[in-house]
Amino acid sequence: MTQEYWRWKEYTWRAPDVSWQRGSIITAGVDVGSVSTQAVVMVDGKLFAYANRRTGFSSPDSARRAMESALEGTGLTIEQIHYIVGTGYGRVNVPFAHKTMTEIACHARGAHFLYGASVRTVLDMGGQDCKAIKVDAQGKVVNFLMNDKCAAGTGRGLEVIADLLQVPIEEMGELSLQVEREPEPVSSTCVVFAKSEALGLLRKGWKKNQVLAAYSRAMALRVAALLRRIGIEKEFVITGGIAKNIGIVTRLEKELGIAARKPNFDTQIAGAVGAALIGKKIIEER
Amino acid sequence: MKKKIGYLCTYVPEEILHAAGFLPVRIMPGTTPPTRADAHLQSYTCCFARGCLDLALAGKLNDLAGVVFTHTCDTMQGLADIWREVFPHLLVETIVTPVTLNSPHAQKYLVAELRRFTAALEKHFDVRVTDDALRASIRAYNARRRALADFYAHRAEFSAVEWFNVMNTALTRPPEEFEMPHSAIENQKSKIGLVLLGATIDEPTLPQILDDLGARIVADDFCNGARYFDTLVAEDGDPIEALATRELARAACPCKHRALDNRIERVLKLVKEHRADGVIFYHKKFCDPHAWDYPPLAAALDREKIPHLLLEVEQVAPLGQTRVRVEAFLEMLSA
Repeated sequence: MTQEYWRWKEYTWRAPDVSWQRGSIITAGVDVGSVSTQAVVMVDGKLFAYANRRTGFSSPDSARRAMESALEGTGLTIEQIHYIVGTGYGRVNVPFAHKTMTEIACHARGAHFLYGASVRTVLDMGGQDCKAIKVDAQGKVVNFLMNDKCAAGTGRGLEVIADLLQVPIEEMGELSLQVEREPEPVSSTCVVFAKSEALGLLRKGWKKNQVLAAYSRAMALRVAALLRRIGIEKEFVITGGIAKNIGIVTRLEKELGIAARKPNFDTQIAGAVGAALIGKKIIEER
Repeated sequence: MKKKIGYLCTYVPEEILHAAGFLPVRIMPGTTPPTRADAHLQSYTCCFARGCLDLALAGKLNDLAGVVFTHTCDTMQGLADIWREVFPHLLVETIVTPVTLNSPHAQKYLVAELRRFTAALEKHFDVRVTDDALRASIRAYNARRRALADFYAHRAEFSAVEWFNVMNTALTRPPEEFEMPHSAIENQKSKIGLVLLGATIDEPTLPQILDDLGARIVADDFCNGARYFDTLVAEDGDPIEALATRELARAACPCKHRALDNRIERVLKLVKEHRADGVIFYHKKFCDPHAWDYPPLAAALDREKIPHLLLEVEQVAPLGQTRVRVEAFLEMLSA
């Protein structure tokens, strides 16, 4: 089988020191995105377990698969969770969810929890879109903007380039930084056109790292334009899968002249964490 | 049955067409993606112009005896010329309306222009537009304006889709045919009230989303919405003078100018009077009059702490993309 360069690792995480049996409020968030699905289970507002899976063509199946992976071996069942919130593009197709919220509200709330209450600007770089969100001290959305043109600044675009250049997606960021001189960005804003442009550069004799640098730079510039429209206030943080790409993050920080807070967790779970926390608040207010 | 004449802008006085013996119908783009218009237009033309031309090229406007444009945006002016070239057998007229509505010369100028237009119509179709016929038409259209104002006064009882249907039907029917719809909203999930702003709204994706999410449109500033029936025409005196006076007095569209803050003041008034929770700008991509108006309007709303959302759509708003923006906006308003 040929290597699938776009394929990122699916995985499951468990808190070593949290017991659901001793908890009083158990909530979960399921973020069915266009590319990846995360299920996060929280016990009394603490991370208990989560799973990150690739989204299939069926949203209900993707949601169930992620949830079952997160719960596997814990003894906890879906039915025992007090409240489940579905979010992401497939939010209305999470069969076991009690409520749905948009990923915009959830990423804001999730970033507030994961990075702290000083967060004011959240950039969620997802599979098929990109959102700039302004949040208040409570983690509530004050304003937001979404990309409205194409997928060039998104995870799906990165996957396409990973396949074209035959570079494993998780190594792209590092490799893109290994250039002596930063090349001009690719000019196209559409994934397919950008791919043609990258192909043209390869034919001209460019190395993979140079092409990656040109593509990553273009992504960073497009996202910077989106952020500037809404205004960037400190603290600035990035959530979603692309936050893991050091090549894009570094270039974005350089372009904006502002450092993004460094995460110590998987940035893809922010939406599902926010969903689980919104669920907890609903239980508490009952 | 009366012959129809199409028009593309509510600055066209329907009364003159009606008094000449025609049924004026507003041309609105369909919901099928254009396949013919692109051969005549640049890629930066708005979907309204593209959609309307496409309908004509597809033969769907063959029952029109003529088409009337006004001098509004650059696209409409260019479109009128394309229309003349592509359909040489049709009457294609442009009423060159003044841009500065409160200029001391505007009334005199517009009266002369409306008389020129009336004479052109009479000559082309060999008809007579009498003052008596004009007065009767003014009364008929005033009656419909009053009926629509009455419908708006009861707007809270109707869904967004019903509002959309009423407005889009009204502009293609004889004035005396307006009927108040009967049904009322059920299962109101949310009490969030919105003001919608834009050029035209000609497909129901957004109203449907608002109904699904339980938000209400409490006021609007659409060409095929509240702007259409704003201000009555005087029923006495010279009818052409009266039509011109109304044109200059009614709520201005972004193609026209009255005073720098005129539209800002009107929008803020709409929000306050109707106690709206937020504003949605429903913009068509490449519609530059509305795009140029957006920054000062958005800044004014920010100053007043009125939340707002900008939606930029092509001919049919993309369902998923539009829904997530609107839903997140409503979540923001209710949080």
